[in-house]
Amino acid sequence: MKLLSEKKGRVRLGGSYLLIGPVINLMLAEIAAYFALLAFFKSPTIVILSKYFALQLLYPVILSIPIILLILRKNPFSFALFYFLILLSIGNLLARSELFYASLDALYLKSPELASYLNSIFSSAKHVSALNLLLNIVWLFVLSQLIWISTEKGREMEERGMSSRNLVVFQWGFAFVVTYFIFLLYPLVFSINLAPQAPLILIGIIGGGVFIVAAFLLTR
Amino acid sequence: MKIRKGTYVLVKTSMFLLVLGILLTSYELVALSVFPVLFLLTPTLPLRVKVLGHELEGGRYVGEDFRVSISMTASGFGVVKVMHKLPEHFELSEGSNAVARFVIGSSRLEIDYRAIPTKRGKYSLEKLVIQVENPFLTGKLFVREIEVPLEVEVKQKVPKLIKIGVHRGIARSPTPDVDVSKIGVPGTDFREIREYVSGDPVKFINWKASARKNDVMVNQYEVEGKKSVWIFLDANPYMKHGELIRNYLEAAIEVANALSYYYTHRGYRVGLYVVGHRRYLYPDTGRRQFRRMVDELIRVEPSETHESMEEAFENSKTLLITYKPLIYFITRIEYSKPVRAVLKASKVSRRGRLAPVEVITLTMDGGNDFPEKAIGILRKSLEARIRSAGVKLTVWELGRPLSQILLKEVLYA
Repeated sequence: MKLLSEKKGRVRLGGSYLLIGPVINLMLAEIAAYFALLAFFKSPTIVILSKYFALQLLYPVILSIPIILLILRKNPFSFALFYFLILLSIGNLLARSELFYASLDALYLKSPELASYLNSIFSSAKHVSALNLLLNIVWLFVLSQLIWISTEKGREMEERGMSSRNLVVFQWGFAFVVTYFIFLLYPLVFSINLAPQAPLILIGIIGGGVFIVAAFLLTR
Repeated sequence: MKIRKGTYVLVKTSMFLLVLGILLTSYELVALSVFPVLFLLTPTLPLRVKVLGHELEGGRYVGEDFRVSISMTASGFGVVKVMHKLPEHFELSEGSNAVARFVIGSSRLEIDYRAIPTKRGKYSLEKLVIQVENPFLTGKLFVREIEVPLEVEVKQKVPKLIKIGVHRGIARSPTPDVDVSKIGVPGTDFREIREYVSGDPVKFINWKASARKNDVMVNQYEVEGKKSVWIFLDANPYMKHGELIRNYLEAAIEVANALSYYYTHRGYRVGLYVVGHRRYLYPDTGRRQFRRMVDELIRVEPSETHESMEEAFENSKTLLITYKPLIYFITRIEYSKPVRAVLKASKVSRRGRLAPVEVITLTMDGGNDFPEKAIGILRKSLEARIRSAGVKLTVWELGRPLSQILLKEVLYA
């Protein structure tokens, strides 16, 4: 994606409000990065990594990524950054992951001490939920993408000589209100126990099918 | 089916969370994967657009801008974009022919712009394209059209010629202002006495001369009306070359327009043959004929098939023999190679040493590369051959004023 400055010769002065779009995205990316770091420092992985790295340095490094992206004329809250932030917050999820414990069991056959050590670290964090922190990141990312898309549309229209100020500003406002409303309701909806009482084999088959479909869609 | 960007982004985010959630058997991630796709459920609600008024001013000639203003109301909820569709030969000069709004309830939309037509023709500007989509720009995009009764006829500006040059040397006046026609209604000016031929009116028999000669003799009077002019306008495919606004065909039409204006306003009969389309217009005089010529010229487009000048001459030979007109060939001689057609035409009209045929060839400054030079040499050779046949040839380099070119006198032996 290209920033306004690349095509500023073609965008009329009336379209200068479109510069606000990337700035809003930068702010959202910074807040999301902060939440991801909070989740990271709450996770059990910190116990292992802090032995080898000066993790306090992560704050300025990660918080500077959106600024660098903006300087490089890219979306400050890009997909790559979102993936990275989610992976950064994954430590708490590993503590509750069956797959992770299965792999620890496999490791136990090869290196029982290490497997036991990891198990002791992660099993102690089983009760920690990262849902709210992750929800913050996902909400901020979805909002930033909606803002970015409407900004891009607005820029296209300005280049064609159409005034899009009313449209874009209203879209930003609408996106914020609606996403925030859903963000507020979301934890309430998922706090209801919706776990189905179906046989595990059936859930497994459905999960496998959904996984294949999702993987196929992601590769397209 | 094309997936919209908004939809793609939300689905991609959701899929990433879902795949990661399944891989890590994480309930939180699977639960979060629903969050982005919730926005895809936002429906596109119907939005009604109504035209309140419209106006079109100016734009009657090529290169002259015109103003269009259309006022509308939109009622409903969502994002609406309205675009007034312009033909490809129109250029926007001010404002925009489209408007976009986020509509909540009711909103007034105004389209106000100026555009310049770059090509002659009759254009319909009746289509308003309306796009309606949901506020997140996801989901289905509804597109429909409504009509506004707007139409514009764009003519080419006719260069006002004060006078057209004459040949000196061979022809004293092949295009004189007082040149009279060979056919037409006989007037009262006596011309000569000649022998009776079948079809001559009895009232023209000169009884005294008949008695003296012992043969039936008739008086001949000068006919009313002026001489005819016949224009061969080349619209073969090679005339398409050039820019959209300034190409050979447009220049040829400009010449035809100017000549028809000049001659029809001086009482000449003017006829037209469009080479390539095999269409012609009978010679006639007056403003009405000029109007017919303009209407015909507005419709002229480069032809799909090729027609040679000789074929064109053969197709209109009967009319040429009848009217014995002054003939103009407007063409690119390096492509049409009209030498044989020109010679035939000059024989049809020749009276003594008169050769009332004129070739107007169009050229452009094409640069110094080899193909252009080769074409230039070919053109020079053809020009020499045409001139040596005693036919007037005018070279119009596009970009120079037409009136100056046609006024220029050609001196040759």
